[in-house]
Amino acid sequence: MKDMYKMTEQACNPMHRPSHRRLRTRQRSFNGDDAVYIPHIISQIQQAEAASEASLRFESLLASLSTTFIKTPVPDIERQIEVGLQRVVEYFALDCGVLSELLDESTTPRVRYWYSMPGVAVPPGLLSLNKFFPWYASQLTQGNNVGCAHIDELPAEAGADRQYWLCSGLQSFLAIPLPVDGVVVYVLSVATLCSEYTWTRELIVRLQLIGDLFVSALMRKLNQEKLEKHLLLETLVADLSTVFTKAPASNVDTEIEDALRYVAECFGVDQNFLLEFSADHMALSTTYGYVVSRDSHISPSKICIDQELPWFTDQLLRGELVRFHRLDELPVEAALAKEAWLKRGIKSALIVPVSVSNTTICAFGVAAFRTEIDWPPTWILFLRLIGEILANALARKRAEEVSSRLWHELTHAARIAMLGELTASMAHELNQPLAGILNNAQAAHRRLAMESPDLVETREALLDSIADDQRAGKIVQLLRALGKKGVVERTPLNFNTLVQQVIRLVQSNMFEKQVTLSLDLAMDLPTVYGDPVQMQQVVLNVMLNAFDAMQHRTRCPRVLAIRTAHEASTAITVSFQDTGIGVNETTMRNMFAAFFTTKAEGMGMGLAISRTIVEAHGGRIWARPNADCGTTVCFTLPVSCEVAV
Amino acid sequence: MNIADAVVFVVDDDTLFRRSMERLLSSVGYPVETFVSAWEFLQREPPTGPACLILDVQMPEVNGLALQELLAGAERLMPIIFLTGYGTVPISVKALKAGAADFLQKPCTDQVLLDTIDRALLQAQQAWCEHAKQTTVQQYLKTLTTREREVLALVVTGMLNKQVADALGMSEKTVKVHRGRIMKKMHAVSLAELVRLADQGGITP
Repeated sequence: MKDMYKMTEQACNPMHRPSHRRLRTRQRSFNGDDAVYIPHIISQIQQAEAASEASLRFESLLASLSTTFIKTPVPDIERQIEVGLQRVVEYFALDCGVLSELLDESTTPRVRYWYSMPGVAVPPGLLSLNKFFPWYASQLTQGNNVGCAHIDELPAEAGADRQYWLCSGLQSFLAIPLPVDGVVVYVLSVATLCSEYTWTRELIVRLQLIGDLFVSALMRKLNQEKLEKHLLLETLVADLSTVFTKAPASNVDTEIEDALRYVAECFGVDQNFLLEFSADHMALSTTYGYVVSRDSHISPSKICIDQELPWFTDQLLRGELVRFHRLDELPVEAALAKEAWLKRGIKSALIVPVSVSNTTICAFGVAAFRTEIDWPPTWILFLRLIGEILANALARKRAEEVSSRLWHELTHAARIAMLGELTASMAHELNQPLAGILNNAQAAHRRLAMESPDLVETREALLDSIADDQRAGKIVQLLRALGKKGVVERTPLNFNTLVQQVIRLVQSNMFEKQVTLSLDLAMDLPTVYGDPVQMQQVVLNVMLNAFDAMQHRTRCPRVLAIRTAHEASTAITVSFQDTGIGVNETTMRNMFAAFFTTKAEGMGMGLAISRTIVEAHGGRIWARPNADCGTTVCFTLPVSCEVAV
Repeated sequence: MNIADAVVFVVDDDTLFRRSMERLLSSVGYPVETFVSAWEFLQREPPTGPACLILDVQMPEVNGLALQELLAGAERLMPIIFLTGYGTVPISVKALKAGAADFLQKPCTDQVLLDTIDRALLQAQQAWCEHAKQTTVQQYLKTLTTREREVLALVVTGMLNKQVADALGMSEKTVKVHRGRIMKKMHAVSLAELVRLADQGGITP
């Protein structure tokens, strides 16, 4: 290391700096007259004493600083460095001290910590190493100390620098580069403003020692933080994996949104997002994303990658990650993507493909728009893990969506098939009010054509027509609801009303099949919660089955006894007792299984669907043989208890 | 066409529909009586004049077809017009075979309904007249003595007095006296009329 400082024997001017008193003694010891022997010896002794005293004092400063840093917990290290800088400035009678960090190969240091004497501003030269100080910057990055007692002493190559140093009002300054693993990362700079200062070799060595002390403390802090971050990310991954294992499919959306916010906080990024491929694998779109809201001008739309970015898509499809610290790091082929991100104000991004058996299914990424981030390599693994967790949850959710859609379609198909059996009832139930309306209208028409029309009678005819019309409307509504492929609702239901509604629909069938109904509906039947259409479907299905079971009975009367009851306070029971042919043991065991049927034209889905519906409502359905003849089908439903449908 | 004193009965379990029928039929001047069920109708006294019945097929307990059967069994004969919300071919065939006057589908226009009712009532009136005549003949027949009945039975076969006398072992003169009494009691002015009345009264050669 080449020392670029100038040794000067000249003392500081004590007039200006009352605080330099301690140093004055030491520096005066360099001045002496060698001609006078005894005084010279005395002086030498004094010098040696002074030197040893100074050395002792410095050692005690060093020891104190070193003890302080060892004892200082990580969060306090930065404050202690500033205190340390203050002690250095005071100890060496300087004006200011700065510890700055060279962020990268560029010559822009970031002042991390500084101290200056009261009333002294830190000169800009110590704060920035921008283009104004090219020589200074190059010296430092090469690991050379830079210092001078006076700006004029700077070498000729430093011409440009000198200009600005002069403007900054500095008298003397010294900058010591502090390498970490052979690379200059920190710079300790000290300066005086009003007086010149001689940078002795001893002083430089001492400052270097102190600088190293600072750096080692900072390294401890950095390592600790890295470790903590790593632990935090590990905890994050563990947490997410637990959350998504437990999350039901219906909650996956909200869980993913929460997870993205949590991930953004843990990683300290401005936004993160889950990208999914379009069906043709040509384009990617953001399906879930989170943007920190501290910058209100950044709208979440920024995360949407809504245009085709072939390079970007290809990269991810090939299983390569996309990682850039600065946009200009992107290759030429990525021009389109670069432009898109520039437009969205993205400065740095790291996007990791998530693959299942070598096929990229989605990608998970983080990005920054406020600062550039040099993505630590360890993050790739974490992002991939998180991406996999999210992708798994999504796949599970999609699968459940598909199966639930299929189930709804099947339920609907079964309902439509049942409605087909009800054509007679529908026609009857609609024609009845239509006939009433027609009769009333014609009667009213005739009355009004008379010389003195009976207006009271006419008015009553119209009122009855309205009532009939409403009746027809209700039937149409009921039928439409049964035929509709609607969203599953959950409303309070009175099963007595529901059973009667269904009876209306099957009245014609009952007549045709000569079935007599016996109703025993419990008074004050508690309300249950459920989907009315699905519940009507269950009742309808069980009733039609009972009719079929009784069709071949010729001797004994065909009676269907429907009973609603609430023996227990927590559930209602609905039972359908028929006088049909009954079922054998095998049928009894399997009658609620899918595709099990004893009918030639049956699909074997009716009771299976009924069971699924009842169980989805938190109930139970079963069948038992009657003592004399026929079967009883019963189901229970919980009273007013909110259950997932 | 209005037939004096003809009554229209309506049996339907649907209150609103019953009321609308009553309203429509009374607006054209028919005396209407409505019943909620077959039982209620059966409890009514049989009508004393021509009547017809408008009957719903689908009713709880006793349906329209069953009522038709019951009425036939009780010999309460009147034209029945079935009126149903949903009629299948088997049901209508069954009803018509059992003698229904017509089988109409709800809703139907007043023109169709009233025409059908008129036809049914005409049929009813004819039946009623026929019935009335029969009743008269029967009453006349009841006034005959056993001997006179025996004579009548042979006379309507076209036998001569002499043959009747031979068959019954009486004198021809006695036969002549009986015939004269029979003609008088049966309110017949000619032999031809006597034959016709005897036929109506169920005395056939």
